[in-house]
Amino acid sequence: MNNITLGKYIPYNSVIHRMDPRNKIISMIIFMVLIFLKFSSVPMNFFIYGCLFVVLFIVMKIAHIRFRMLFSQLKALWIMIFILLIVNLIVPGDESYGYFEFFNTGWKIYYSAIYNTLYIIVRLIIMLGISLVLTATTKPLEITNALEWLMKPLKVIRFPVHEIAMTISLALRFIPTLLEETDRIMKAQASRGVDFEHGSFKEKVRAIISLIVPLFISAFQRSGELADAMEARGYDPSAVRTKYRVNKWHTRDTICISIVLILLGGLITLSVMKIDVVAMIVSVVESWF
Amino acid sequence: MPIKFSHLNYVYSKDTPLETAALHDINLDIIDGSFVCLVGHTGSGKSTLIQHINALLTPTSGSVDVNGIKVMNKKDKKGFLKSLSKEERKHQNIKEIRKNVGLVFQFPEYQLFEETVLKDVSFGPKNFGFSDEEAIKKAKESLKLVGIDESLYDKSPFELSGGQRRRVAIAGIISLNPDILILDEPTAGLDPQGSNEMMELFNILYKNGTTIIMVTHDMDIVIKYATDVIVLKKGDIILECKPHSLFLNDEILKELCVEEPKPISFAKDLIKNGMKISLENVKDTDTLIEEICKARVKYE
Ligand SMILES: Nc1ncnc2c1ncn2[C@@H]1O[C@H](COP(=O)(O)OP(=O)(O)OP(=O)(O)O)[C@@H](O)[C@H]1O
Ligand SMILES: [Mg+2]
Repeated sequence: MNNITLGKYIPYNSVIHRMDPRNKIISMIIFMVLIFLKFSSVPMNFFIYGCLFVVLFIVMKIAHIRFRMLFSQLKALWIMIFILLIVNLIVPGDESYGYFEFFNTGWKIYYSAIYNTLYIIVRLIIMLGISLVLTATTKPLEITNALEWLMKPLKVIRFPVHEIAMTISLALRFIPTLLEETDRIMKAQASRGVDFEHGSFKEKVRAIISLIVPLFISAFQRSGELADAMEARGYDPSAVRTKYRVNKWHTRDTICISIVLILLGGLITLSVMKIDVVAMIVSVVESWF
Repeated sequence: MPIKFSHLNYVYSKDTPLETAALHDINLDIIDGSFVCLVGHTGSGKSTLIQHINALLTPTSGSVDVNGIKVMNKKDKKGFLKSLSKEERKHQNIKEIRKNVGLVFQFPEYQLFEETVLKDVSFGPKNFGFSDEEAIKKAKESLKLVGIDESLYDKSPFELSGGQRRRVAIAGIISLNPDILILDEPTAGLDPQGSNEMMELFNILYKNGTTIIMVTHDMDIVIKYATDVIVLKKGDIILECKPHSLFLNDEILKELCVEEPKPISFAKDLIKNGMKISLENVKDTDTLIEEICKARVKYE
């Protein structure tokens, strides 16, 4: 039961772990932008996704994150992906990519629908992977410290930067606690005969309810207690405070962010200029034979 | 339903940097009709040990045998099942264990979820295939046993006090009529009277033939109720004995950082000064007085 790893910090001592969290957050955001760029042709899109995948794979290798972890998290998303596919198939798509008829029933299945679904799946996987890298290699406290630093300019327009950072750090802090709690309640209900894995749909719903209700109640209770504890210690969000841990920018951070920026620049150029690398490669290869 | 641990090891988060070995090579027999107390420092592996008995955790290696049903990890179990005939394989059902072994977790009040107390308590029996009426009947019986008033049956469990909620949660397990009842610090955080009532309830179940396995830090409970004591330290069983011999073993008492219960130290002093009473019979103040009377009678 205890194989839920989303958002859990895993203490190794890799280069990625030692990088400045500000760098990691910026790089992550840029990488996410990259996923949403559109290129001139379908093969080109998949080619770029493939490259991004390779980058992600290398980063995960360096950070000692096992690929299995990523896929175990995808399990929950299969239903969503399936629904997406159905919706995409039913809604009339873009005819320019062509279509075929579904076993002569007159129902047109557009290739664009299939491509779109595939894009979404790939994007989801890469996004999950990237956020996994961030949360597995960076302590929650570091993440919020970095966020607070990154959002500093917003203070000018009276945006409550510190409060937001605090809220996020609390939320992150409670992820492992809630996971432990989930595990505990699942076990407690299992000893009352709840079967979370097998059973009919109705039984499954009951099983989930028996988990969710106590989980929410304990979460609310915890948050109330925490608020009281903070107040009792005189926490004042508007007070000026110093930091125990100060972020340090190293050469490795400069290198990392440069690579990411070059990647960004390159891919945007490819996208805007509508350069089809795949077609070029294909034509080169063809001219050889 | 005898329980047999053989060469059981358990490691949390195996193959990650967070790997912790919680139990090492545990060998243990628990016979029918015993009242076993598990003691040990915090983090010594008590909770981990008991969760194996109803297969909530599966051993990293080794096995637990509960009335012939083996709890093993997937790989070992596969091999084990292969060695059985078809008939025997049918018997190896984990759900069967869960039905016969009731486990009450530490702070069980956090597992309540139904709209009413009665519904919550009958949830377990229903899961194990009893009809609605039977489940309700069982629920009412066990609520009565734990001392929850009938006027509370239709209340939401979240409107009750902490102590009442604990009772309801325990009733939720007792309603399964388990042959083995495992309790993880059931009296933690209760007032002395509530704690006594709770213990008396478990004692009644014990007298009715239920095997009780209890994790506790309270030596008064150990001496009063236990038939056997198991002392855990950092994942090893360092002592298995009768309760009174625990209090003759100064080393262990020091190790556990506990004071002996008052009646015991009193009795020990009396023995030291020449009074002939048998320490095995001293369980609480009442039995101590009885022993003293007996000794006096002999003396006169
Ligand atoms: N979910 C978990 N993940 C990793 N390690 C764990 C987990 N649960 C317990 N441990 C570790 O296993 C060891 C045994 O824990 P266990 O909960 O069995 O102790 P315990 O004897 O019940 O303690 P207590 O008296 O505090 O309840 C401890 O060192 C603990 O840190
Ligand atoms: Mg415990």
